[in-house]
Amino acid sequence: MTRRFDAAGLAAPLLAVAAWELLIRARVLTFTYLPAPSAIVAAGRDLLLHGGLLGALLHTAAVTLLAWALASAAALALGTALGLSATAARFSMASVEVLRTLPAVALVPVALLVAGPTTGAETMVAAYAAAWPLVIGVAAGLRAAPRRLLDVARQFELSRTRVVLSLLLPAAAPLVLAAARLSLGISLIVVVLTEMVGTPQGLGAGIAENQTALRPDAMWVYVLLVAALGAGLNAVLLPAARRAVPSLRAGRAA
Amino acid sequence: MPGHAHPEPAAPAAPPDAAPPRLRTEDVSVSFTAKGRPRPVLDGISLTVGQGEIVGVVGRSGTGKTTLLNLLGGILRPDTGRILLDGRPFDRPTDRVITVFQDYGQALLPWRTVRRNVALGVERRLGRAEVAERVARALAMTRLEANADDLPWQLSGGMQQRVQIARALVMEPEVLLLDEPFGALDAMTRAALQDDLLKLQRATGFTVVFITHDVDEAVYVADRVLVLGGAPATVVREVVSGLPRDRDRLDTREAAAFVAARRALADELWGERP
Repeated sequence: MTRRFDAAGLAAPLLAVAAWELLIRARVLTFTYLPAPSAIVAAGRDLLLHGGLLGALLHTAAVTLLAWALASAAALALGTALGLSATAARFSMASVEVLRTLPAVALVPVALLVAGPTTGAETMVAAYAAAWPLVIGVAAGLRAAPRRLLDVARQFELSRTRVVLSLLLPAAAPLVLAAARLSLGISLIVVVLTEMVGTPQGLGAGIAENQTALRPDAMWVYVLLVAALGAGLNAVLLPAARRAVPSLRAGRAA
Repeated sequence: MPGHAHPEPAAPAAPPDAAPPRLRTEDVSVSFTAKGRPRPVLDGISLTVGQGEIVGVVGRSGTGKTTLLNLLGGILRPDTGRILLDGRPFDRPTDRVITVFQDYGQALLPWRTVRRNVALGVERRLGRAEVAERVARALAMTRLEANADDLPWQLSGGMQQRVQIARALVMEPEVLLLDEPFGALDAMTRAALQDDLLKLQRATGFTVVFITHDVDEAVYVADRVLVLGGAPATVVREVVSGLPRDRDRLDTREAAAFVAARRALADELWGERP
């Protein structure tokens, strides 16, 4: 992630949008359901004023964050156990490998059947899917922490809790953060998908409903908002994590 | 002195026992398990380190120097024999004997400032004011006051190793164990740190056992050098340089005692090669 404002990086998409607009106005592109960017902006304004766009955005954002938080808590516990205990790893790694490679989207219909078309169903599947990369990240991060730290811990007679909290987890933090980014992205994907397939709320539902209503301009508004939400969550949460966890500021590349 | 019940290893004469013993090993043996079979590493090592003495340990790589140091620090327990600190057996780490590891990059916490790295061993045991005072003293002794708020990786290798030494000094130990402390540093930095160590020892009077692969360093820093050799290893030779404590870097290197001690160690380490 670059910290400075990247003017050159912004120029490319702006040019693409301008080209898109021009090609449609010049009738070079004539797909029935491909609206011009200006039409999407108009639809967006309309939805914002009368269509509950903000509510849908907040719903999706809230569920994504809730699922991610639940996943993080569970994954931190499970990943720590797997990373610290060879026995726990020996008995569980095979199951973890099977469970994490199962595409979580396959469980969306299952969750909808069990919990109904509810926020609970969304949260459940998204948390499940988002947990795995973090489990792997935490366990790998702990295993990759320098063994020397354990000698240091023995030398200074640190308690086992302190070894984990003050030495090993901070040492694992960069890998954990990388996994947390993946996990946040996955949480958003699964939440939007569940909304599209089953629950009549949120940005996903907006995409699906406007597709069936043959309102491509409104559909695009929801699609773009999903993209903006993903980028926004990353942009807000990662610097916050960097500020909160000192070991992420250590600044070395590897 | 107790311990005459144990047969002394072949070569060495008794160390100069002007100072009362601080650290002793009595007939200590250790083996590790490699590929399902026990491999003896140290065999019946008995040695005494006097209060305030500086002892160097040399030997070819893989002879078990680090194993010996881990035993002296209570980080490792011997299979047989025992280790005594001021006459009392101990087999777990204590504040009174602190190890400085070779790999400062792994042994320091890169996310903690120098100050908080140094505080690691005392921060939960002493009051805030006393921690601050002890840390300040350790930083002053290692000339790191100006870097107290830096992160370790912002410092040079020599300074990082001084942070580790400060982290040991803050415990106010009676014995400092150093595992090839200056091995990863350039010659200039190494020379400066050797003199720093000698000065610190003179100021506080702690006992030092250090491992080195550098014969010159062993003779220059130590009062007495032990050569570890054989598999399993024993102390095969002891060399006492007899150099005065107040050492000058340039004069010492030309002193007859320095040259003789250095020659004796070199003979022992490399002499038997064809």
